[in-house]
Amino acid sequence: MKRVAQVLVIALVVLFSVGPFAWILLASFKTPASIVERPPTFLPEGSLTFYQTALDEHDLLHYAGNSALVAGSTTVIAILFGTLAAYPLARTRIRGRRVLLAVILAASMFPQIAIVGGVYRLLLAMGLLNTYPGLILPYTALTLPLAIWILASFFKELPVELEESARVDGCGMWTTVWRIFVPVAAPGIFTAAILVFIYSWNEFFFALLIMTDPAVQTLPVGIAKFPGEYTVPWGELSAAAVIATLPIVILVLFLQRRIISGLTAGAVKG
Amino acid sequence: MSTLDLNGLTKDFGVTRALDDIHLRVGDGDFCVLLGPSGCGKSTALRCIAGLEQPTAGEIRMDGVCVNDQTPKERGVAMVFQSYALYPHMTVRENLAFPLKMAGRPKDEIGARVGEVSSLLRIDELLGRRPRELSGGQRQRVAIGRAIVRNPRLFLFDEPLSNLDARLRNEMRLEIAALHRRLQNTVIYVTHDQIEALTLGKTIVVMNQGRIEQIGAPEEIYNRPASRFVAGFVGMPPMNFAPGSIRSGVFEAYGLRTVIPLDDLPGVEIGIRPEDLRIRDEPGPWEVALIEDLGSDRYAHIELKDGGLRWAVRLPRDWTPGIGVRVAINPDDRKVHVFRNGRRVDFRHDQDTGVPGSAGV
Amino acid sequence: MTGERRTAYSFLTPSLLILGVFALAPIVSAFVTSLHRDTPFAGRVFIGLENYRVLLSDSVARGTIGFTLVFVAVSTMLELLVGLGLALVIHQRFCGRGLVRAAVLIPWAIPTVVAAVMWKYMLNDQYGVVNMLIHGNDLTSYTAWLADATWARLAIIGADVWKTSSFAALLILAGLQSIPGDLYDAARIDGAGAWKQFWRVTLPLLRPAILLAALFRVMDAFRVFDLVYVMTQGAPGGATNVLQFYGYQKMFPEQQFGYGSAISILVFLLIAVTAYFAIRTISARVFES
Repeated sequence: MKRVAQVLVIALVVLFSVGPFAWILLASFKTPASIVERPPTFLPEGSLTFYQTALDEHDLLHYAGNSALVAGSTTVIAILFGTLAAYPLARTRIRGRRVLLAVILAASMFPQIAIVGGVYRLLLAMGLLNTYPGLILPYTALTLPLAIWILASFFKELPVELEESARVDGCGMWTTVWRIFVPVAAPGIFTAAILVFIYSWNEFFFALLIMTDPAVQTLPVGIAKFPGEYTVPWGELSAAAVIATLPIVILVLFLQRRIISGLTAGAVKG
Repeated sequence: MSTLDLNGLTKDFGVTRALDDIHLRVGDGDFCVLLGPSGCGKSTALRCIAGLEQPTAGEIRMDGVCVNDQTPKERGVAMVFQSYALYPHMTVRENLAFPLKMAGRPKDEIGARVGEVSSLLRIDELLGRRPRELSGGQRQRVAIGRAIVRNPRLFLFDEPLSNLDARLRNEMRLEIAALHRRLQNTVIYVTHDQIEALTLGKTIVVMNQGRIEQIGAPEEIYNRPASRFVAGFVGMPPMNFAPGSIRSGVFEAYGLRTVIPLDDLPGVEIGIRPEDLRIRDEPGPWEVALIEDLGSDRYAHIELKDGGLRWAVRLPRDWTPGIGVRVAINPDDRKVHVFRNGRRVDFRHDQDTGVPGSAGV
Repeated sequence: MTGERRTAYSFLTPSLLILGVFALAPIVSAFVTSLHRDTPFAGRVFIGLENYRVLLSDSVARGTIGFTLVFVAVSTMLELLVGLGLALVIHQRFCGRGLVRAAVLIPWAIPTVVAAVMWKYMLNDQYGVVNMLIHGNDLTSYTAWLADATWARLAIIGADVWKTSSFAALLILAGLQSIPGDLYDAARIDGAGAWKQFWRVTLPLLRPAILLAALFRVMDAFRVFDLVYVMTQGAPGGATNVLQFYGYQKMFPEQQFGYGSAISILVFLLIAVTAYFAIRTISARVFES
């Protein structure tokens, strides 16, 4: 009896979490005829028509490429800078350490709307609107606090002797970070990288305002502005949504443990 | 060739003073042990020497050159940590090679040195493994290997044996001693374990509350402790103490009497090691409370009725008193120590005549 | 040592530079702009706090502030409840737990825009699964949920709860994992049943985790934008308009930079005040124990 109840509850949790996604996944495999059936049906025919139109006519791969480029570059830069910054914040007794940490944390709470005006004008002045760097730079600023916070909490857990030993063995701070900390904290760095990547892959607000030229737009903007003259093309849209989500779902399936540890790092230990 | 001088080394952490005006000279090839209870400043001193801490005041000289402003890298010292601090992402070979790589040595020299050191420490077979695949003793060896690999001018050991179990600790202690005999390098070794200190050290520096209590050879530390603290800290079971005063060249109290050739001196404390007391099977003021058998030796813990003292006495091989039995003790006069205000008071027995000589301090 | 200190600061420089230029400076500039009338035609004129005065008397703004507050309060509350439930389930030991945890993470991980499209589709008045589940073959009863003010508001809240409960669940899960097992053994020996254990042991010890989750959720809820942009664009009749969307409308389509900036500063202040109180409560609680 207890066992049945447990299975039911777990099934409910899974249905709640993946049900909506399953709905568009099913819809994406329907045909133009079956998708407008009323009442709507669950089971699709397994047709790939919508994927074909999404890729061919709506040029979805192009958006996906933009997303990958922007999210990938943001991840590399944010992790690079974040690692450099997290080390002194976590491991040295420099003056103003606590204030800096507080400022960095505060920066992660700024509403995007309060930043976007200034960023927009700056990018306009620099001629960076509708360019990849124009999106990568603000994304780096948006994700750095998260990266620094996670990396610092991972660095804090490494034994002090490790770096002292490195110093006695002849490492300067630079070598200590790259030769000792980065390899040893690789799991933590990897975790931070996943989270930064997911964040930049999903970001919409800045992408919407900075990338007005479809040639450089990312997937979320492409999907939000999916062309439909009178009716919404739900089938193509579902296929596009699945394509935009697939890389993230794969990341989550394989790296569930790391993502959870990264999201809760620092949160629990303070 | 390397010597170390500490001139007035002082280190404050906020309001607490961890090191207070330390003066120390360590000669070339010396094995110098910093001994003391936890919090006495011995590790701080070592870290200052390594360059991991910046002293508040005072000077550190190596081979006569002040190294205060040098980074650990520039000082050319090697350190073995209590937790070994092996790099977990490197194999044993890479761990050993790392200091040489950092020093920018050529590849073939690194290979040769790593080979020499690993055969010296008998870890050749472990070279391909990672630290997590090693036992405690093996990790310890690798840590020592990483320290000796680049011929540092100074070896620093920070409680290197305290993470090992008792048997392994003995083995490694002997090995470290043998290694030092062979390499003849200058060593600073921090420990709170007096056995390690007495067996390994050529010079022992006993520290307490950030100050040096005594510097001396092991026999000197044991036989002529310079202070009440050293006398109580070194020796197991610890030295017995009793307050009192010396009158007419004699200390007499608690049913014991010992000749001390000094002028009348009130407010002293005498100290006698358990092995320097003889226990007599005749009714005295002491009562046997406990017999402690350490295998090689047995000790009786005896209490003075009303006196509040509890002493330890080494028992002769052939006699064991019962618990609660009243006994008498008498000390070996020449092995009695006298302390006043915590410091040692020196005196000499005139052994040729057997007559108390004139008082000497 | 001074050399090392210099190295330490130099390590921080790239990050601080980026954050300074793309986060701190824009905030300051938004505040300065909010004190101006700033449109492409009239140019930039200093008008003091006029924008803020208008903001408080503008009836659209008042409606927007009202719904934003309702949204923040209701969605956070529901997210904590759902998150607690999810956390309790994925904290249990059962086979396939890793997969279930991954499933719970999916709403958090997928792009908000995709989630919004999903919900918009599910709530569609003709082809939506929600109508099918409620009305079945009775096609005439199919409702245009997003065209009705109350339902549209509930839809936005519901979509947000679905999307972000898993984040709350993870923070609460971390709290659950930090409760030592002995406590439950002790409670059992003291005669507490499962229900009592939950109320007397689990819930009190989870308070810091729940507070932390609430703090993060409230601050994030004030910034809601993507859902509104995709699902309703503030419709019907501004019923689902929220501050960040309203600010966007003023600043970009309408090009009123000054007024838009005033709205953005209001969002900033609301978040700052929340953060201040939340951090104070949390640190007070931490120092107590």
